[in-house]
Amino acid sequence: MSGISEERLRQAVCEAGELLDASLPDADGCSHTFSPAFGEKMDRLLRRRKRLALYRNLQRAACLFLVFLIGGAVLLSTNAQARQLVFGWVREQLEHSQDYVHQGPVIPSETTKVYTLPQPEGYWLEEASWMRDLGDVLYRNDQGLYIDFSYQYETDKSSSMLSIVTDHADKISVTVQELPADLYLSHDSDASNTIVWSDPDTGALLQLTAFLGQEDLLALAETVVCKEQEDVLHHQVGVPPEYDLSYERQCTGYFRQDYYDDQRDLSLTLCCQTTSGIGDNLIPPAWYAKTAVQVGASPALFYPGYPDSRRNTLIWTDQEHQSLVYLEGTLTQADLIALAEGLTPFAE
Amino acid sequence: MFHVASQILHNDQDAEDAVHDAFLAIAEHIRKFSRLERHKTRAFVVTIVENKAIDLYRRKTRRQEEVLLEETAGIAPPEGGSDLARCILRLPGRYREFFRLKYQLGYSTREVAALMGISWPAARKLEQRAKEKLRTLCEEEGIL
Repeated sequence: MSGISEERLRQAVCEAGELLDASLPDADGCSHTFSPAFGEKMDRLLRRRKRLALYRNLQRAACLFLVFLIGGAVLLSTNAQARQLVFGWVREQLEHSQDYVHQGPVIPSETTKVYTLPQPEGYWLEEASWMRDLGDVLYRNDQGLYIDFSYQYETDKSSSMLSIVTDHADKISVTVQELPADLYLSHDSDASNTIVWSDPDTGALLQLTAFLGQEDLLALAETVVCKEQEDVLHHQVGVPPEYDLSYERQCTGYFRQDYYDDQRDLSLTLCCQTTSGIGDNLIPPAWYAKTAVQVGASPALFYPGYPDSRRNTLIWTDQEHQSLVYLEGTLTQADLIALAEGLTPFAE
Repeated sequence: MFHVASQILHNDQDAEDAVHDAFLAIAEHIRKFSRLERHKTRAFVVTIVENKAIDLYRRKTRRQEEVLLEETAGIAPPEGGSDLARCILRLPGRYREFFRLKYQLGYSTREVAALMGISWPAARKLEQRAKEKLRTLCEEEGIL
């Protein structure tokens, strides 16, 4: 926003938010007794959440049983349409939206593939995020218009769905890379349009939204590329190999990576932010207890038990790159510092 | 949660409905919620219940204009804070919610759209209007 930097805005929002939350009464200060009707609604909500998990498990079991009963292995290998029905995404029409939900067996998280949308001409990368079971990239041009591409999976470690609001759009059947797709064409010619399609070979559900007409949007969708996970480049920062990268997000002047070592049940979060970067709010509250330490030759601050009792946080400034580095994990102070001293967050 | 909702709706039953809707939203976005640091969960819950209360207020008043929804006041702003923070506190509830979810809680615009139950294009427009409104307030305060 002109006149106010993003960093100043973020600090002011945090300050305003903390003031707002502090002005609210504690639970002891609220004397309301919830009605029996509210209690019944909450019970139904809890039962529904339990039933949803049970329903999905039963559905998976039923689908697997059906597959084996009719010789599904042979059927699936020879009939592409049957594979899509069993492993694919199904569209459900609601009053104001089309919801895409997954039906059939889920795929192992470690077998998912990555989809990329090459940078379109005239657009720059604003933000990208990656996990094993979903990815998202946002491009923007000088007119402020964006292109958003995302994909997601239903895996053994996650579940997802996609909802498209259809109040002011028409749904048109199209094809993308010879696969059936749904194009949501807005009634407003200045609004964005969306294409949704699924890939039965990988189990992915893909979505592309842009301020483009039908023809240009379809042409853009044709440029989407499928890759193996190993072919995706991540920021190489020197985290030891026993830690698996599970999440990465990058935007202007900022990136974040989450790691997990399942052998030792240790997790790490690393964030690097330049002075003009736009990312997460990395600095703990000023009142939080901290200790001055060193990371190599750089002064650093160690926050014990932040952001929760199982984790510790180390923050320092990389003077050479004028960037803030934030390292958080379920490690001791000594281990965190030793790991930090081995990092090269800005080496390519 | 009830206190926040009742400040907007001024009706116990409606406030309970808003609290229930907020729990629904938290359950649907439990993965986003569970990624938060502990000290941010209160901010998340307050923002979500304010969002649901404003949604319910809009439905109750049977008005469909988007401007009215966005201009609906949220919970009463407290006193204090820096000049810019005070302007942010004076923003209508929906704009303030967007800022909190994005800048205080660190969600991407896409995630904010999902949490607020709006499309991504609508979220981008909301952000633009929120910044324009904030600019207007800052100019009135002499900050800009």
